[in-house]
Amino acid sequence: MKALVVDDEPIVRRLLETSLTEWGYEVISAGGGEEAWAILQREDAPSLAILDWTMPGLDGLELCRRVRALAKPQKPYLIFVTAKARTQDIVTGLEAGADDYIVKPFNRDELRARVRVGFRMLELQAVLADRVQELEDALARVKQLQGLLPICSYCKKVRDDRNYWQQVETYIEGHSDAQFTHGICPECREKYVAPELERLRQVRRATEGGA
Amino acid sequence: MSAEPAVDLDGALRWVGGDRRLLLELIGLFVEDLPGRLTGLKEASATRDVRQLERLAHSLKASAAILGAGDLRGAALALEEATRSRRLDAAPELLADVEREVGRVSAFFDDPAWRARLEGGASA
Repeated sequence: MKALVVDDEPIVRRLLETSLTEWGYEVISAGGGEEAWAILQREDAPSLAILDWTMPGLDGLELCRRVRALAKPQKPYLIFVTAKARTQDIVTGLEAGADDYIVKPFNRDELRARVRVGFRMLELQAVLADRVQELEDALARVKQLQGLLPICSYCKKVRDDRNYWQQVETYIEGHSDAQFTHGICPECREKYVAPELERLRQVRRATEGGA
Repeated sequence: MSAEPAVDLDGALRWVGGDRRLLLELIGLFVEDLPGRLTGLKEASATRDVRQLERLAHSLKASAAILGAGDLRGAALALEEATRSRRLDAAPELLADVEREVGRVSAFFDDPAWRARLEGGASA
């Protein structure tokens, strides 16, 4: 699990880096908003970021807004760790798109617990995204079998979307997960198989009689 | 201003979860930066660069808090708040407070006694 630390204060950055490493996370750090923005746009961007708010250049708030506007399916979990402690600041930070907010100087145990919550949320999101994908795939298959199928009234072949007539089992196998095992129903046994067996018996009797 | 020592080492050690080696490293970073920070604050004040003054005071406050330099943190906070609310007439006096507290913190770390205390005795 990879975390990004963004703070222009070397001491705070060092403290965060050391703490996260100690807790078993892989850590990347950035000394400013621009550097962090470049890292967060990468393919292998960390999934959780701890941001300072007040930084020269691109500050944490603007960074937060940019990250939220990213066209990525899985957006990183953002935690503000900032000395801005007024209620209004907290509201502004969370409304800009941060997932959590911790006031500096922070308590290490609290930070650790909140980082864990962050990774737990990310895991939950990933599981849900997988489930949604599975359901979408299943739905797509169901849709393939919906609609009006042209079928021959006599031989029961089905016309597909490329205008070929297919055996009904070939068509269904191609448009769903269903597979067929072939057998004979009692009515067809009576109608087709019995007369055919009878014909074969007659042929044999005729042959034996002639010999 | 205060009879308390400029730096509360026990408090600082609590912030870093009792990790003495980490605290030594952070103190090293801080002491190294301190003269530059003060120069930056003075320049920003002289050129009336309010945003820069506010930002530098803000970050000094954060580091001072982590290292247990409570009075320096308080002085930096007062300067930050004054600049944020554009009370610039108060800035020189508040900057002087910051400078005095920076002096106390520097003196604290100049005296090797703190190192002995940290390595030998300061309890987490």
